[in-house]
Amino acid sequence: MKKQLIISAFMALFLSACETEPIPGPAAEPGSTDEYAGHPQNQIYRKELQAFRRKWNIPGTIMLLKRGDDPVWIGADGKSNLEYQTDLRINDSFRTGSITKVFVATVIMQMKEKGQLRLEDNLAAVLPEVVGHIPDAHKITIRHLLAHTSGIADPTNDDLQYQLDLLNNPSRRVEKSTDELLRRYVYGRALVFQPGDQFGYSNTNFWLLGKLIEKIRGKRLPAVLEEVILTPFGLTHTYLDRRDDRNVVRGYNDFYANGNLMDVTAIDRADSDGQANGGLISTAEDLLKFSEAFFGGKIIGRASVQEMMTIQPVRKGTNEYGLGLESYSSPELGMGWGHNGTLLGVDTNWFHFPDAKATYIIFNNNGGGADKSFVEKLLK
Amino acid sequence: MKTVQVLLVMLLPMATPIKAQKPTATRSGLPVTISVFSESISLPTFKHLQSGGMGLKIGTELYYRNRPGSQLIQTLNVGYYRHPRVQSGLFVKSEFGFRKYVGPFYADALVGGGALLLRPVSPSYERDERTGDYRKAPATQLKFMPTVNAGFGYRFRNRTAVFARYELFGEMPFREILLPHQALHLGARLILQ
Repeated sequence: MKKQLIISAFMALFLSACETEPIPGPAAEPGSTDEYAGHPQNQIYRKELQAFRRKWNIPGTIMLLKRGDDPVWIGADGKSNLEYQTDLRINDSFRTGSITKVFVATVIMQMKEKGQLRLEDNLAAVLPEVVGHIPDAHKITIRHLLAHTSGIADPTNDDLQYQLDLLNNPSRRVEKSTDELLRRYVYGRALVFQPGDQFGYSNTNFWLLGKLIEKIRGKRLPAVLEEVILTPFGLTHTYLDRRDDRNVVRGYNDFYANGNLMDVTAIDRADSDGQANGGLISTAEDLLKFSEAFFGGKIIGRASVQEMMTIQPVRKGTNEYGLGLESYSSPELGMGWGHNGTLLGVDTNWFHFPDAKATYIIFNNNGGGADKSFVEKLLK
Repeated sequence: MKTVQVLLVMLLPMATPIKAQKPTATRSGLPVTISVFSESISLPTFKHLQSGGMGLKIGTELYYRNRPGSQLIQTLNVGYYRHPRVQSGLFVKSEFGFRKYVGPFYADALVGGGALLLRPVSPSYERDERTGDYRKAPATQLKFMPTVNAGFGYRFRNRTAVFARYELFGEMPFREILLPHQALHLGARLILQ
């Protein structure tokens, strides 16, 4: 009896001492889950979207489809916030992850057009503070950074201690500047391969490009994005700076591999918000505006877009990446260009297929990944 | 259930010598260890120690061999830690190890395992396979907790001791097999008469 009392007291202490993260409720804003009910393909698209979401255990999915000269279709299915069982809406904001890289690369190309830099400039010349910390900095060019052929290590994907530090203290990660990240996780590490030898995706390349933009423009990167892309092209629901925005869709992941989805928004916020490698927050509609302006040669010239859409040669292995732009060869739609984005609780895709004049955008709030090839059949 | 099975398998080799050798506490009194520890989610490192959580561990020791210069030990411990904004854990574990004395100083190393009742700060949701709806999942999870640790201490004439201990423990199962933690303990061993 006494033992039971002690155990009960200990359990009570455990349960009462436990904190639970307060999940902020979304602020009420006008919006709809279905503004495209009149679209001729609405029923087919909606059915496919629902089946896709359910198959891949995704709490909420937004899908945008644009085919040829047909009108655009956007659909949303599921929840944006499971705590409050909030319905996902077509205009909800998502963390887009690495789609950010296309925006940053576009700014770099615009700076090249203005003569503020050259793609063949080397890292030692444009960011001399990295000399002695990043090997062969004089051999690494801006082009290598844009194309992920620099050989610089990627702590976000290959450094277990980076990932554990993020889990251990997400708030501490928020406080770290890009310079601190570089000092703690990148400086002093050997190159994975010689610059130009092969493709090796590394978020560090875009941390460095973000630094470079800020240095040359004398402004914070979010302000430069505002100036070059967001304001001129009317992307009013897109931003890079860190905000306490409770309407951004929450992210989920089978974190403990037990079949349950844990709310990992705090980790995603710490890992990506404000960062040049993956911090952009946007909506499907805004991303379509960007897509049309970008491929239409309105943000940067068509020659620069074409250069970004050129797969960069490597000496070893194969490559499918351009300059901040990913290629995707679809059997249905031909060669597509865009980017995917993955955070712990987010899985996003944006691809445009010039030959088929087709575009799709998919935002999922389960970072576990999903096969989206069904979209190509819908766009054929 | 799987966690409990793993725990039983882990404890089995420890249970065998208990039967064979009948471990004892001490000839005159029960050793009680108490330690406070700082915990962090990390690979083993002293170079970049991170702040994480704080915890308390209370336990006792049984001796298979208790000589003036060395001891073969089995520990039984219960403890709790709270890692702000990440998780809290309540654990029961047992370790087996060796302790060597040099004068009043000693060093020891222990390995073992136990059960960890974990409560992440972030909520989880489970899907109703029939309807596809998501509902709140239980807030706690039972995990296997492998542990290895080493420490050194000083034993006073009255046989109480103070010690420092470095511990690595894990949460299993986890997506990448195991989520590693490290802990630095400061504590005392008292002899209860």
